Amino acid sequence: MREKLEADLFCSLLMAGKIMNGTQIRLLMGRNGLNSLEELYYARSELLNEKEFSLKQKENWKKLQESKVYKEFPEYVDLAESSGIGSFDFFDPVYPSYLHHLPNMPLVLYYKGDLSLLDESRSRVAIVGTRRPSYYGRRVTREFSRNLALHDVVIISGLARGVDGTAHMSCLECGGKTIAVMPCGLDQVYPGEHKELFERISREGLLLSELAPCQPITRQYFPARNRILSALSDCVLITEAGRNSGTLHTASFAAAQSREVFAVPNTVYSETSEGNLLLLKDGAQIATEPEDIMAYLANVAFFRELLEIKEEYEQNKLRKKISQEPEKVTENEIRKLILEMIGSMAVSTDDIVKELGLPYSHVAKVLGKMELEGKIQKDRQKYVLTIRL
Amino acid sequence: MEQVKIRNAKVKTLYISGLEGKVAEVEASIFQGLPSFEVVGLGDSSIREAKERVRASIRSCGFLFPNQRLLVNISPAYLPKSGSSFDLAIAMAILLATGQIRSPYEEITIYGELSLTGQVRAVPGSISRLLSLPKERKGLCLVPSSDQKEAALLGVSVTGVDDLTGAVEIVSGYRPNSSGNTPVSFDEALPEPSADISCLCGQPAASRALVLSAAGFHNLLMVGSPGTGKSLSAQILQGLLPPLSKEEKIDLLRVESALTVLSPETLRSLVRPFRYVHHTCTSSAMVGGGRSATPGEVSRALHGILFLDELPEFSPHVLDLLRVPLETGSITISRSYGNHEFPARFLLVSAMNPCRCGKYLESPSECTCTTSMISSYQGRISGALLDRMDIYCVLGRITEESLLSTMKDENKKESVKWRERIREIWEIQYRRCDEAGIPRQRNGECRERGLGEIFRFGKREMEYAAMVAHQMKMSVRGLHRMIRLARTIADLEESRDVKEDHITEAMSFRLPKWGEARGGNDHA
Repeated sequence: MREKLEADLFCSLLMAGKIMNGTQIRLLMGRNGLNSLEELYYARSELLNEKEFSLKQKENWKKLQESKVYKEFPEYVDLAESSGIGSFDFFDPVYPSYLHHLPNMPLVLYYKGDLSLLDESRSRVAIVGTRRPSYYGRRVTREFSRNLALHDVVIISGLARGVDGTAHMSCLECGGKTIAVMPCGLDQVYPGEHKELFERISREGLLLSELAPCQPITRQYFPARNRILSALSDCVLITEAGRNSGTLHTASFAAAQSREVFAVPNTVYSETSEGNLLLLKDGAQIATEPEDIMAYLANVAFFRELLEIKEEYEQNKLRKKISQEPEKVTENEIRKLILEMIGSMAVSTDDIVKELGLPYSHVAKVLGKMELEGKIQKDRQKYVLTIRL
Repeated sequence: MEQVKIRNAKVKTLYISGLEGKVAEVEASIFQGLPSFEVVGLGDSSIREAKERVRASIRSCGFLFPNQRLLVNISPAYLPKSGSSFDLAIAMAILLATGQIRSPYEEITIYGELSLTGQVRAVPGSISRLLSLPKERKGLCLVPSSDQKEAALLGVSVTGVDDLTGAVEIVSGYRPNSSGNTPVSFDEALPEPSADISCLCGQPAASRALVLSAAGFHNLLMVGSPGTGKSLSAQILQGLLPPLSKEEKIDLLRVESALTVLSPETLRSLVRPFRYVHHTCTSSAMVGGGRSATPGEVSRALHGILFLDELPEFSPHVLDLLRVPLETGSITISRSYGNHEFPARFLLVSAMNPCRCGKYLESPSECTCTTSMISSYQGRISGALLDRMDIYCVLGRITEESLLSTMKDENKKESVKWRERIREIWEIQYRRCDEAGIPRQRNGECRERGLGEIFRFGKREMEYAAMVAHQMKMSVRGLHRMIRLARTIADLEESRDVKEDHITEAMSFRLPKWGEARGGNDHA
């Protein structure tokens, strides 16, 4: 693991020192047929040819070599390692595949906490807003965050003051999972008053940052961090945002990354919600209750799941598994078979139990969850899809 | 002039008012004067007729009936009394007053009906009477000999008599007062259930609902087209219930004995009652009433099943009377001379068709009911009653394969196995009640405050339940119902704490909004 961290930190230094940017590094790797940053790191002395550098690059390279972190690089790596920071990069399997095709995504990400929150099968919603929310904004944030978290949705935010902090807090309070995308290296906490929350997320959730430890905090970077925040989510919810709020950057990133934007309405006289009204005018989705978001997520997840069950081979494999080792069947697998049945006609619980040959309680709880998530509904006491194909 | 001679005698007797056994005093006085026989003390016509029975039996036993002015008073005289159980006491008081017999006993308690030849017959209400006997008492207690079994059951020592002559012999001390009781034992082994749960193999939702209903004593509403096995399911449910405990059995016998003389079989059997109530049932037949306040079906179903078939056909007024007993476990009948309280803890099992023709759910194209007919049919059941049903289950059409399996008589005995299991699950529930320091009750009967703590819900689980209730637009009572059912589901898995999965399953048994049930076509 240390080699990986060493290589990633080195690349981050190159990028932070403005010697090369992410694209240049990837081009360089492509030219030399390298498959990972570790390979680049070991071959750095041959590859970083000063002769090919421009004047500016040479100057920056010199500056970097004189800097403290470069001179004491092993100590620097130790520091990162001892504060529990891990890293992964574009070439790693854990790098979320839904970021692959987006432009301008970070080459390296640092993390602290539970990486499984980035799994493709989980639903994630970003909740962002102003740093100075009104009572209305705090209350709306709390309600949405709580409800979504209770539905096992991962809440993503930026750990800023105001709405961000409230979103993280309310999610953790009801035992939910949350991701904070930080605007600074993970060895520091910004803003300082959220130190406790930061610690708690590192234990119960996931902290992510594009920046390597010890890099200075710059205000200019704040908007750029928002592109990661929106890219990680299925949709972005803006609970309260003023006219010039940085939150609107997140919304425009989301729109560019084809993530749905939801905004909570308020009265037209409310100054603190001016940004929301602007967004709604520009065609953002309106969110008045958590179910609005759930319905959207159900839609996204539904198509994701439906694509997976198209293959008959897959289905037969699942059915065989049910008959041979019923105790090993996971909830996801039952869901797939249920969706496939309901997709073609309205069915009762009895029908499903008989078809699958699983105990009633097993099937009922999965059906109940799917109903709560808004994927299916009861009509004349049979289940039908809420989504019309 | 001859001194006016008044001869007096008194004995005690036991009578019932409602379900309450009470002690009364029967006094007889004989004066000089024209021969007459008068009974006072607010007796009804059955007591007025006692005069003739007493006269005939005294004579046929070879005693003299006084040819003087005879007055009998039954006190307390301000309470109305009824029944033929005073016969024996009146006869004994008269014999003592005339001086034909003398008794060495200080106090005599005696009741029973007399035939014209002096035979002593049993009367209803033995259990309540015997329970009202004071624990510390001196003297003699004579009962019809068939009541000795009940006395043995209750651990009360009494002497049984067969006829008036026998009673006279004991009262006057010629025959020893043999109050030795032969102990009564219950039939511990329940008979084979009339229907086995394996009959429902084609309807997993229904069989799960039955098991849950039995495991937590949850009220059940079954909806299904005609012939989907609703009545059968109710019978199966009875077979799933463990036997009555001794206390429960005595409770039940008190009600039963108030209505009829108990047969030895009823006395011994521990099968829980199953009351199949017809939909023409009147309100006083349902909750009890009448001039002398007799218990109704809700009390006769005590600790057992009250089955209401064709729920919408019942008079809405009768159904609404069920709300109080469902909530408090008892029913109070008010009369001008006082209130009667009858126990009424029962498992309400009800069944209905989805619409008048019954085809609405299964084959909507054949359903001939209009939307307004369907809503008026379903609307006959008040929301308040529906709110008290813990489990709502739909019985689907029976498929060919399950038809086949019901034809084959494989003689599976799954109900018996389940009965054992459910007995264990009740034990778990009782133990939890003990730990929480509340009276022993099953989950479905629990009306305590702070259900979350008693039922061991975590903070997150409580929040989840509240969220589900909000999303499914349940009432507060609906939420409590779901919580109780979730606890039973967890008990079936022998899980100490309730988990989210249990709540989700409980949610699937919720009552539909009737609008939701009939919606269907409107928004499709």
